[in-house]
Amino acid sequence: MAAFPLLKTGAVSQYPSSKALEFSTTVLRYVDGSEQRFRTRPAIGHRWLIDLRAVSPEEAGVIRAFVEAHRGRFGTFSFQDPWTGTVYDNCSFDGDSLELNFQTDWRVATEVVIRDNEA
Amino acid sequence: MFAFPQLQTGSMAQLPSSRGSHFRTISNSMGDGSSLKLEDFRGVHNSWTLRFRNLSDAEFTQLGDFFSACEGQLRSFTFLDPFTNLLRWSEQLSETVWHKDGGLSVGATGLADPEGTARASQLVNTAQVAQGLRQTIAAPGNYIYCFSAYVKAAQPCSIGLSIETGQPNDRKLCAVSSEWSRVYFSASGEEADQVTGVLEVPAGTAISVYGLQLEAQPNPSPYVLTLGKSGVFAHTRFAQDQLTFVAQGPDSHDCTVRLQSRDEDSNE
Repeated sequence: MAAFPLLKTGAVSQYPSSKALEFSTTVLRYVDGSEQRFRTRPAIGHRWLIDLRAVSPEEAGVIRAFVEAHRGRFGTFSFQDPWTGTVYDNCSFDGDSLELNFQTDWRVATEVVIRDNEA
Repeated sequence: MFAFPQLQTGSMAQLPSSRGSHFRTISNSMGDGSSLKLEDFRGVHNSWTLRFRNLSDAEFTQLGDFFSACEGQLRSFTFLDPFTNLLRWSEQLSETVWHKDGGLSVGATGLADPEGTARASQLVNTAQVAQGLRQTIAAPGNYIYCFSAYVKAAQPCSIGLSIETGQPNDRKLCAVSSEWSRVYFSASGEEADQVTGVLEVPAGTAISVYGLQLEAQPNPSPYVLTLGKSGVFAHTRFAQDQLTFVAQGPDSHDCTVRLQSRDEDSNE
């Protein structure tokens, strides 16, 4: 299973980046004010926004090659949570597009959203 | 070849600009939260937003004439991606896109490279004359190109770099030492539909090579790894039917160009 590439520093992302914990709950409300709640997803979901504001053109090329190899949302790969170090083996990109902003000869900005498919 | 024009400076774009890779995935969500995904191959495309500032009158006229010849979004043309390597399989020298003269072979791979990884390869020439490693791309021969590589050798020697467009072009001899160094050669050729980057290894010599790169600009930019796809997009179109130029002053024009290209492996 391919792993999401690391930057030259060995890090996965730059600051600021964010992580979301997700659940999916259906709430049925009745006329008497009572509620019935049940989960529609079996497990907690994870989503990471990897903000890369200043990567080298080579690092941007590696990320682009990885996105293209996995065809956007289609492919799966392993990803190590930069907060906890936990490796999630079944992740996908949460979008079908990758935008690279070439700001100078040596600095490229981009961001990717990764989600855990196990949820 | 009907191709997006190169600026007078020899570059294809100015910074800041941006490029996008786009895919299409059909996803069905199941009741248990899982999903079935299907890749839509026909939906793959690339996009560029090129922001031009201070174009000269000549560049403004050239770009405007090209846009008119394309009739906006109607006609397609060849576009050389300014943000990537025009070569394919830049680190896999055994791939068929790389043509090696008879006495040249790829030796060890996975060697230590100047980036601190292990992606360099060894080229071994067992012949009595210089032998070349070359890759040809379908691109306008009269543009300015830069062919570059990181090289080193156990014994000091000189390698040859050249860019061929139909007729063999001038060749540059580059000194190679026991330390990694980046060498490059820039040239433009004649009207042609193919451009070939050539690296010549001297007779009876083995060199380590990494980061082979061909770009449509005068000087080398940071190396970008490529796999099966190159930076040549043969079916690119303007993503706009209106191109607006803003004259900032005499001989100074600004505009923003948006381009879109289907994946080069898909049918048009």
